[in-house]
This record gives sequence, structure tokens and C-alpha cells, in this order.
Amino acid sequence: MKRLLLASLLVVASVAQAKEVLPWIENDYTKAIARAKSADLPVFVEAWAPW
Amino acid sequence: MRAYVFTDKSLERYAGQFVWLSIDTEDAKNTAFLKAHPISVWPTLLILDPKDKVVFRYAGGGTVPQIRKLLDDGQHAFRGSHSKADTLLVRADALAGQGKQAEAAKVFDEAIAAAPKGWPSLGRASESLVFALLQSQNPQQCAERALAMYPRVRGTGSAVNVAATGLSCATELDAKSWNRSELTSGLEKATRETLAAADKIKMSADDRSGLYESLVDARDQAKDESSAHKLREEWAAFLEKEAAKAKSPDQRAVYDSHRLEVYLGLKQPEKAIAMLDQSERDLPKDYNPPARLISAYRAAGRFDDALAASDRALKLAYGPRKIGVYRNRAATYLAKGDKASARKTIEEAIRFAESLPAEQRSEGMIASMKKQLDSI
Repeated sequence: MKRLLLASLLVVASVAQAKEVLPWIENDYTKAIARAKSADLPVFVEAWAPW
Repeated sequence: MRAYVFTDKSLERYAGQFVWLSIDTEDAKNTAFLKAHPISVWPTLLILDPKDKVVFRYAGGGTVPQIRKLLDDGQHAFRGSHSKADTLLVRADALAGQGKQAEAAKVFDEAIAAAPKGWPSLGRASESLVFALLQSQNPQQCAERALAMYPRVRGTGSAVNVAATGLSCATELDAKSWNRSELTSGLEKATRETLAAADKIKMSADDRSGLYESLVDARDQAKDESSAHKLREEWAAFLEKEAAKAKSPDQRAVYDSHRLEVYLGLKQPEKAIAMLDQSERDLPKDYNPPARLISAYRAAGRFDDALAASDRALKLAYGPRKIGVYRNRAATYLAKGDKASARKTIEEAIRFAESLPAEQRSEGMIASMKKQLDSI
């Protein structure tokens, strides 16, 4: 849907704020999967683009 | 979502229940992820098990309560499915995650058909079905299934995507479609009804803006200029009110892309220029404000200012999105009547597109630019 493709909402500068609430791993897929295996936890992924 | 949703304190209790991975799909560091999990809708939210298998997929964003529900549903999907419909939904999510949208749509439909009474995932399954049909280039079925599913999700957050996506599909149908007008009018009615219930549904401002966008597109398609203009004015007033409530430049800039679209539709580029100038001053590292200024200046006939904005945007942009900046720059040269510079810009864009890693490279985009080059 065009809305989502346009949607775009988010800017890189806000990443620092997000870290305050949730312990995000930034752009490191291998590290996230390794941590999920060791802790037996699911991985929540937000795939976004800065536009 | 990063500016508004994931900063909400009520999500803190989920911190230890997941590993949290943020993927900027434009960043070349993420090609391994994109190879395993192709992304074509932004944002896309996924839940993976520790073996990297998709157990849950949602195309789109949401409000804090919607995200809390997604996280609860995701935990449920991870800890074990309980009904046939749940199992089918996990399979459909996995297929969508592999980019097999047509197959995914069939399995989403099977999951819906197997849904027990009061199935908590019916809304998400309906939204995912409609998205999968949209992405598999099947606007006919997308509009038909959206219209059929709407009464089952009416008055819930899922009604937003089902109605507005379905309406976008219906407006894409050509005149040969035998039930085009029935689908368009039914889905337009559903979208209006959902917009009227915005406060009750507690939808995000972005969702509400998306409903306006679909309605405006439908009125434009119907060549109903007066209704389209009235809707655009209402839409602009709504976005301005929301932007005025923002607590930071990041939050305010969330509305920039929709406000640009609506101001250009209203033939008020000067409003877009003032808004984007402010965002560029407040967010100097973000390429979006100068990238958007290209279109605003061009609409105002200020071609040299548009080209200067494109220089600034190209310095900051990276990844596949940079191609859009090149194309916008080329469009400005064309508007100015400078075909040679337009050609040179498209050639640069092609070289850049061909230099991207395989997972970010789009052969369709490269072919379309080569075709454009031939036509200049």
C-alpha cells in the first residue's frame, strides 16, 4: 500500500531515545541470533528505513 | 514508530521477553539479514525463533496498544500454536517472509477459513492477507478479499489496513474489471466509516493520515476535483494539528512526507518549503528534508534551489533510497529544460544502483532507469 511505502516516518536521530526503553541491537543480525540461541528467546525485528 | 511508539514506558515489561533487533534496510551491513528475510514494506515487524525461522510477521506499524498486542501474539506464536488456524498462520507468515506472497495469501485464507470463534489473530491475518495480495500484484483479489473481510474487522485497528489497502487496490483496477465500481464504492464507504471512527478505534495519526490518502486517491481517480480538494484541506488541517502537538523535531518530522504530498496536491508548495526548511535546520544529519525540498522547490518553479537541495541530499543519503534523490534531481533538470544534465544524472544513478550489494540491488529499477535514459 502506498501509505506504507511512503510512510517512512522515522529518522535516525530518534534511535538513541528508543534505547532507553528497550535494549535494541542495532544492525547486527548475527549477534541477535546468537543471543536468542543462548537465552532461548525469540527475536523481535523492526525492519525500517530512514525515509 | 521509533519516535513515538518504541519509547513508551509501558513496553519496558517486554524488554526481557525478546532479543530486540533493529534493521535499517538501507544500510549495506544488513545484506545477510535481507537475503534471509526480504523486506518490501516498511516498517515490517518480525518475530524469529532462535533458529532464525519466522514465527510471526506484520507489515506495518501501529500504536502502543497495537504493538503490545503484537508482542503478546508473538510470544503466543513462539511458545506454541494451539489451533489449526494458528499453525496455518505461522506457515503463511513464513511464506510471506520468503517473499512468496501469492502462496502466503492462499495460506492466510486457509487460516481465516479455519479460524475458531473469537480467534484473536483474525485481524492480523486479514491485514496480512490483503497485503500479500497487494504485493503479489493481484489488485482484483486484494480488493475483493478486503471488501469481504471488512465486516469482520469493522471498528477494530485492523479495519484501517483492510479498508485503505483494499481501496488502494480497487483504484488500481482498470476499466476491464467487471466489478471495479462496486469494489471501489464499497471500500470507499468502509474507509470513510473507519476514518469517522478514528477516535473510538484509537488509531495512530499515521493510520489516520493513510486513510485520508487512500480516499483522496480514490476521488482523484474518479476525477471528482471538488471532493478531492475538500478532503485534502481536511487532511492538511489534521496533519498540522498533529505536528503542532509534537514534543521534538523528530516527532514533528514524522508528518513531513504526508504534509508535502498534501501541500503539493493543494498547489501550496510555499507551505511545504517553510516546513522542510525548519526540519532541515532542526535535523541537519537527516537527508529527508533536503530530499523532499527538491519536489517542493520544483513545484514552485524554483529549479536552482531544487538542484541545490539535491546536492545537500546526495551528500547525506545512502543505500537504495539515494536513487530516488538522483531521479528527483534529474526530473528537476528536465523541468528546467536541461536534457543533457538530466541524462548525466540518470547515468550516475544507474552506476550507483549497479554498485549496491545484490540484496539491495533492484534489476527492475535499473531497467526502468535505462528505459528513461532512452526516452530523454
